[in-house]
Amino acid sequence: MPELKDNPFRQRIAQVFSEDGDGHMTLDNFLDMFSVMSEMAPRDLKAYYAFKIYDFNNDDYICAWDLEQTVTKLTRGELSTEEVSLICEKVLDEADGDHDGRLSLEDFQNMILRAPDFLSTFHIRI
Amino acid sequence: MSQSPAFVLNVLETPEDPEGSQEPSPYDESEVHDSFHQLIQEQSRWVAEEGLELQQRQPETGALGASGSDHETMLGPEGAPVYSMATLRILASMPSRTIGRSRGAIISQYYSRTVKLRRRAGRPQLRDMGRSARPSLRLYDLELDSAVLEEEEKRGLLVKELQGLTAAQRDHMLRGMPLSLAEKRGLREESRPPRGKHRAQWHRGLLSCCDQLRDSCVLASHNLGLALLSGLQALMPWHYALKRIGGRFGSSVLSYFLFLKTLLAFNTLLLPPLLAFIVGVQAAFPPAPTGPVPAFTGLELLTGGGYFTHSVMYYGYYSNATLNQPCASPLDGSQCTPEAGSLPYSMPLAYLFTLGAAFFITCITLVYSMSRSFGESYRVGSTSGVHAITVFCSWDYKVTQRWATRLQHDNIRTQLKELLAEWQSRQHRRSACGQLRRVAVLGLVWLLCLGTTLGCTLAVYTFSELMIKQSPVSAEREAVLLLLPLVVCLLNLGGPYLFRILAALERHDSPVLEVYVAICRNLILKMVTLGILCYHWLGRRVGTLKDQCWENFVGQELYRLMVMDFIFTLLDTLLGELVWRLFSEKQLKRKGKPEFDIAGNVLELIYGQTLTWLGVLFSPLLPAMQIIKLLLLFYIKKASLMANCQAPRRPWKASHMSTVFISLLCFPSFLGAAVFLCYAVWQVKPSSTCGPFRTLDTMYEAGKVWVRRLEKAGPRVSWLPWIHRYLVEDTFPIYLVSALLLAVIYLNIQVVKGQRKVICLLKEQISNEGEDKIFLINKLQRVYERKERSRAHEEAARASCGLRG
Repeated sequence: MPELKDNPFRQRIAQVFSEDGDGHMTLDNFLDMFSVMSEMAPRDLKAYYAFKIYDFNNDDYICAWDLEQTVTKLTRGELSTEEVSLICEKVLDEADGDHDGRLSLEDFQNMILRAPDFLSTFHIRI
Repeated sequence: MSQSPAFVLNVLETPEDPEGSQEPSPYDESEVHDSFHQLIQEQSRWVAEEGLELQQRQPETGALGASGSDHETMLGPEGAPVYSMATLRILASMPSRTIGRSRGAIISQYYSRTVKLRRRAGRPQLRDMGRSARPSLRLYDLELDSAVLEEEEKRGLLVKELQGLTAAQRDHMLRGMPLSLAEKRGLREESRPPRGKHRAQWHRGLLSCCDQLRDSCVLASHNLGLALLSGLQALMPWHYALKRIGGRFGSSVLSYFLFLKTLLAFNTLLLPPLLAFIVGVQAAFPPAPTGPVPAFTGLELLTGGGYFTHSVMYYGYYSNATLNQPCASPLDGSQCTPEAGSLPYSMPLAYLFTLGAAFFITCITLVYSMSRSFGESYRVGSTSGVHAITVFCSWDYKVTQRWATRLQHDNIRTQLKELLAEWQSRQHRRSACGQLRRVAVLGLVWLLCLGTTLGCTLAVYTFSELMIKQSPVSAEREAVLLLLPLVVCLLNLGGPYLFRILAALERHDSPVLEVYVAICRNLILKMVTLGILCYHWLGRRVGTLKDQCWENFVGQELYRLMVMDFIFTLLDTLLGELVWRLFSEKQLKRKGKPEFDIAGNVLELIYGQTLTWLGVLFSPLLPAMQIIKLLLLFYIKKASLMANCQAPRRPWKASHMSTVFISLLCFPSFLGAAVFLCYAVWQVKPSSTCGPFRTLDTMYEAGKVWVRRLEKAGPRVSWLPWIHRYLVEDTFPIYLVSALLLAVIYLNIQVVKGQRKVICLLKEQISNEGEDKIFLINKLQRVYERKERSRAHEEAARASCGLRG
């Protein structure tokens, strides 16, 4: 699929949208994925799936380890470890509402509400 | 909404603590918040009854234990003790963990949402939320009833609730559900009202019948709209081009091309009324030619004069009489045969009203799209949380090419580094001396830029005065007329480059501010230049061209400006992008291609559109020219972009930028054009030898004359003169409307302030609830530990008794 060939999160996308969770997608899963990533999908739906994509260990929370994985994949490993941990700390400071050290789905959705760009970036044109 | 079940906490089977600890047990403590107390009781009773959750949770708790940092961060910096199995069981079945986990949970969550939607519409009242209410609990409304429903029953309930909604609400609810497409399709099929049930629903009353009719009408029109839209998209030749641009360069460069499309839409909105009511009618009834028509030479395409002067293109061609009249007074002395059923068409009125209506529609459309853009892109409190937004929302999934994704990685890395550097620099406060130096440099650069603008303005003014001295220009030397537009366009081209050089001296903390400052300076230069030109036309030219057609001249000047602007844009693209790329590759041996200057190009587009709006009164075909220009510009810019440029390195919030573009289009550009046109219509005397207003004192008088004639016509249409006298000519209604507008703006500002305060309060509440949760979990853990210890004591005591006995 050319749209996802170079996406750093392509494995996570495949895992999230596949039925058995290990990346093998049926046609229905494929349609689901493009329906969520299309222009017409509502913001909450996109936020829900984005949360699942960034939750690397599938525990329904984005913890510090998940954040580190995300930042590393975003920058292709070119930031130093201190910088990565500093960024994760600041992200948790900003987005963690109940101060339990990780982001729940509500924290994530709350943050997405404040980012009007999300709808245009979390979007694949077919 | 939520009931409060009464149940017993079965942990307290043992009597009070034998060690006599000072800590009260959870059951006795009166400080415990209601919600968590009931929750823990209910959950523990459920767990004691079912006990099945343990199997399902084992791998999860195992995973939790493995990534033990989760629990550790939850309790604080020091390591947490290992929790007992009972505590883990309760933790694992907390409502925040079950949300979104399984299909059953999703279905029940959406069932309760649908119920809430049907029972009340609108935002929940804040006074209904108790102090103890956790916001997420209220939203998700857990199943607090004891009967655990099977998934099938839950699904049935959801379908029933969906049937009770209107079609639009149902579609909206289904679209937002995080279930797979097949399930959503099934739910939609089941919840659609079947045909056989029509008679049963008829009994519910006429109201539901009308409701249904309205729903089916809305649904049918919605489907038709979707079909038309998809058909239109298939017809649109630019859909694939935009996808390629977005894939290679990202959302920010795409916003320029989308803005170009918007401008095309505005011009397409402006043109048809002009064609239908002004140009078409006059072309069907051409006036008698006033003199010999000059031959067509190629120069007309540049100067707009010569052959084009006496054509539909300019104001001077239009007649000031009523066309197609069953004539009572023969104007040109010839015999006229009254034709039956002919419609008299007053050209001056048509000219005035069509232009007025077209501008009004454009204004409404602009304000509507600007407000919608603002609504989408600005949120209360959107300036905070920049790190989180950069990490989660900055990867553009549209980008598909390998080198483009590499560029995105670099951009995001640079952005994060810049954010960290900004934060670190804020930690070390700059010295007072450094601050002063920064302010001084900033002031100096601004002074230089404003000085440059003033210099350009003086140059244009002097040159325009020179051109007045040159006039009248004979037909052979019409090329001299091109000099003023040439000078203006040269200054518009050179000014931004000079500003960019000067801006390299100052160093801003945030790169977004740099962009805004650059846009501001360029905009000031362009608007001031246009202002001088407007003064030159309406102030000076009207005086010097007393007996000639000054409106034609102004129309031709604007035509020349537009053509020169287009030529210079092409030159800029050629030199700035193609030649610069070749030069930097061959001579400087640099790999990087020039960046696509989004701000500069957008300002060019806005400038061109301002010229169109300024000139539409004097040359009704100008929007058609602008449409052709925009179409050509799209293809040329796209080709140059693909071949020569790379995406900008600066972070560009595409949604903010498109809001800024459209508000720039509305405020300096459209407002300026509207002011210019209002002045021209209300204050300037039209020339007496040409045009539809040649016998009047101002163009607006045509309307006044018509209203006077209506007054005399009779009492049947007396409301129109009444409106004209008391609402338009009187100034009081304008003051009233302005006062109302100010009041509405003030109210909105206060509402937003109130919402900000409420957000702060709710955030505090969330963090307090989080602390409460940690406190209660620790308490639970201590209770269980005590229980374990007391049990161990008992067993030890029993064992020792058994040994002795």
